[in-house]
Amino acid sequence: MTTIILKATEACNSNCYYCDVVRKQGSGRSMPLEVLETVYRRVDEHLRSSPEDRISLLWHGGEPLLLGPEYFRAALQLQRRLCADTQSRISHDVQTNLTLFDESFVDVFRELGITALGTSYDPEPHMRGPGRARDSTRYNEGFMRGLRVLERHGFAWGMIYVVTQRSLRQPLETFHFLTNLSLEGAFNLNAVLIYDQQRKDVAITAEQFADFLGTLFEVWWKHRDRFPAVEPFRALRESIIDRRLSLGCVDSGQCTYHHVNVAPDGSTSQCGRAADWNILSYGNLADRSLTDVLRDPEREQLERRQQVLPQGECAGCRFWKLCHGGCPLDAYSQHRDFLHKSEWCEAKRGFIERYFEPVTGVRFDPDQD
Amino acid sequence: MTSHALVVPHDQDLLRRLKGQTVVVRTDDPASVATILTDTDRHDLRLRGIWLKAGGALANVEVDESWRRCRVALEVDVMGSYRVLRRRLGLLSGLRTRVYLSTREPENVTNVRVLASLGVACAVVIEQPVDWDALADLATYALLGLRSRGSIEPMHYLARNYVARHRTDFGAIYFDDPKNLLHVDDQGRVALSHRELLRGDVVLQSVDELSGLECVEAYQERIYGWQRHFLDADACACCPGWRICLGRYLGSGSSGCASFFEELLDLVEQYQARRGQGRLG
Amino acid sequence: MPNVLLTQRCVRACPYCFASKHMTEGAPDAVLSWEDFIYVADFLQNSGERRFPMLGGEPTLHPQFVEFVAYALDRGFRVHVFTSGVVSERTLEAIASEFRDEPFDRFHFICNLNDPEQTPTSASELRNVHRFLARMGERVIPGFNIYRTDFTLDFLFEAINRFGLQRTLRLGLAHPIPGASTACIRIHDIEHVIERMFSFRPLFERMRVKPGLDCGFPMCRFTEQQLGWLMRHGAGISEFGCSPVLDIGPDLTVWPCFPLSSFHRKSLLEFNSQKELLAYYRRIHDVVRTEIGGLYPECDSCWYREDGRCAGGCIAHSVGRFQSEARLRLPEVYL
Repeated sequence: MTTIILKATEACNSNCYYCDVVRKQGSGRSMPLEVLETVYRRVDEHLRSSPEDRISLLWHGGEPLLLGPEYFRAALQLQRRLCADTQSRISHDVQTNLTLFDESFVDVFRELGITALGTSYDPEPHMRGPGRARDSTRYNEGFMRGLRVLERHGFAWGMIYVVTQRSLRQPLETFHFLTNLSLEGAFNLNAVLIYDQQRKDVAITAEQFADFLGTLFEVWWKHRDRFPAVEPFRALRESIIDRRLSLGCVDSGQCTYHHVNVAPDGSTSQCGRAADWNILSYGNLADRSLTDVLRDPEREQLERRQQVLPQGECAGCRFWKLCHGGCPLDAYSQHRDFLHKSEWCEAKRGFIERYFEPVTGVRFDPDQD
Repeated sequence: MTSHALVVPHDQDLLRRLKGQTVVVRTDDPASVATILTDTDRHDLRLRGIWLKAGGALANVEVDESWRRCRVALEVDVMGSYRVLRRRLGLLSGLRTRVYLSTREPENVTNVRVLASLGVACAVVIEQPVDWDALADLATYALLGLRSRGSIEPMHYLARNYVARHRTDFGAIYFDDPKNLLHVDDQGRVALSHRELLRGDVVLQSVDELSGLECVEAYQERIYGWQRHFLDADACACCPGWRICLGRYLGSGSSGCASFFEELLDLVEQYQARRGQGRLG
Repeated sequence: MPNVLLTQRCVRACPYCFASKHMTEGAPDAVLSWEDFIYVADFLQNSGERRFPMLGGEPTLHPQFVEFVAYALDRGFRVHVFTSGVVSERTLEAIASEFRDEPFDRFHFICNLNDPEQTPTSASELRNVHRFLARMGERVIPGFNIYRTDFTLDFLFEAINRFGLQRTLRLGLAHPIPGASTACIRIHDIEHVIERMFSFRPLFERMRVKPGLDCGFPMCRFTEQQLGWLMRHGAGISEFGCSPVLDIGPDLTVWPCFPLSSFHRKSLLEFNSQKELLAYYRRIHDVVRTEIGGLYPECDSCWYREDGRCAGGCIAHSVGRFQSEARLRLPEVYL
């Protein structure tokens, strides 16, 4: 499965404290339909030449719903016209703040085969919201309106919660808030990623993240059937206890040849952060096929990482199979080099050793099948 | 006509206007039950039940064979003398009558247990003052007790209807369920709850306007009222028991509700787990 | 069949009282709550038990005594109440009116009567007892606890006739209570007591009163003639058993029987059924009997004990003996 992160717009109607997209120069760009047409042509071309592959198109941004329902209707028409024989292998997902989701999107999303929306939420005031002051009241009210539409029309939804310094004050209250809000959906706890000094006040360390997860884990474990899909707990449970490796892109070590980010102008890179930092850039889809982009030789350094780390920094680590050195972009952010493990490695190891294993009574043995 | 059931007074003119409608008839006179049955038949109404606010002592309520024909929600103040009540127990436990007792009287929590153990369906009306510990004890008895018995609400409602990862609203037990129930006064004005009806907070001036209910903003706000807890980030939004309480008791002056509903949720899950294994009688 | 204590407090101070140790150790004003009462009813019903014996202290002192009896009857139990007969007038009226139409086998009393000549009894106590017997007469099985060797049964026959009591007399030996000093019958006096009991045979026959033996009598101390007479004239088949009766206190603690109220106390909540509870205490009984078979040396090799026809007398004698010895036996036998 190949994932295309389609940054169809960099415009956003919110000014989230920890978001890097709105800070980019040239932000506010949206993908013209001509570029979208090129994207679909390349997708069709790739799927014809790779009969085993499937494409997951993740609509991303900024806020993709700023494009309006007509844009998605146009996308649907392009898909039908340009990918007539391959569209059965194209699926769509959307990552949105939900504040703009209304009845007008329902039909076209259904026709695109979208049954669930990805979103994110933060109960902390003034972390998300429009304007300099980040009007979180307005933001949250928009979110709830969007949620009503979702529920009324039977869409599922999943949520990301970004763990910041402020989260550490009341971890359990936050946990219950989020599990009460997102009763059905998947729920990801992600550490905030801060690269500048101005926003260091919300940054957390790996150890703090591990302790935050640990505080929640005991409660989660006791009631895991009540809220089964909280990540990273679910994935670790499946991987360690059920012995079925279930790893996201950050931990799988397999993002090398299966991910591509497409910017509004059609330029490609490994992922969103790679695009922000101008690294791992693979050219423009106007000039190159998607297949060539996915096979770009520059990706080899990511592949090398999987050989180098287990002999070096990660040698002898019990958790290599669960982590694979973490996200290469995390390593780059610290070392300007991919051939290092992620700084968040300590979070994962600390959480598993200090919390997961004692609470569950199960010790991860990488050699046991 | 509406898909909602209407809680209406025993008023002939109103009943006549509501032909074909599903209704719950509200009365405070036990002797009127038989008449209500006749009247609803005559006006071609689908009678979902009778809400009988009898007050006083259960032991003094003249329960009747005619009650067998319908469900009766019987609100009383106290159980009264057991020695008097026992003469009617055989009849009472065989009817589709549920006895409502309020926590305002402390002995009612015990008396609910007494009645339920004898096969009488009961409901606890949780009002201040509440002994939350006693209520938790009652919930344990209701859901994990040694023998099956008359149901005790809202515990059994939750046990039957709770689905993990969904909100479960037990308001229907107390006729507080605007998604499915509306309250009408004798002038035909419509409110979303009985309390609002008494206050005069109506959402429609006439039952004739029912078809437009979905467009009424107040109605939509109520249906999605649970969201307000998250927008306000109040104590209920962070409560482990929220999904079966939905903030019903916020601002009622109660404390202790959080630990009660958290415990109740655990009990409901245990009950359902046992049931799945066929361990419950 | 467990006995359920509704109260701790009693209105008498009988010299032989089995419950005296228990009552001094517990909270005197403790009464069984409605919640716990319902729990016990559920427990018993779950265990297939149809009988609900109530005692105390004095059970009629419970503020909801009449309601509890009514409730137990409404749950389908057969209720019998062990009472001293010292019942307040108000409670007596309530009982009489509420259960007037209840058949005897569904509701009756076992009233332990003391000889007013031999056991100190105040005039008011006697009046109360007589008032109770006069009112409840045909619902009452009289009982008598033999705690002195010079006892007499005349007053009982007189009471049976005068008040129309059931013509069955429950006779019990006052057993020792380990750890307490109450009046009781010593082992070496048992034979004499039995002899004296049988000296009242003519009265039993003339009054057509059937004797029933309570637990703890050793069979070997009866002659063949006495056993034969019991078979003919007794209230049912005589048993010479000693096994856990099970008493449940107002706070849901349980113990095997009153003389052993301090012996391996547990909570009812620790058991799922009466069967489980009995099995627990029977196991402990077996351990005691392994250490000492019965009251007499010959109990160890007695065929009737092996066969289960006689338990070897009341186990309280053995348990009491263990407490004054060096602790060299199996640990279960100590208090």
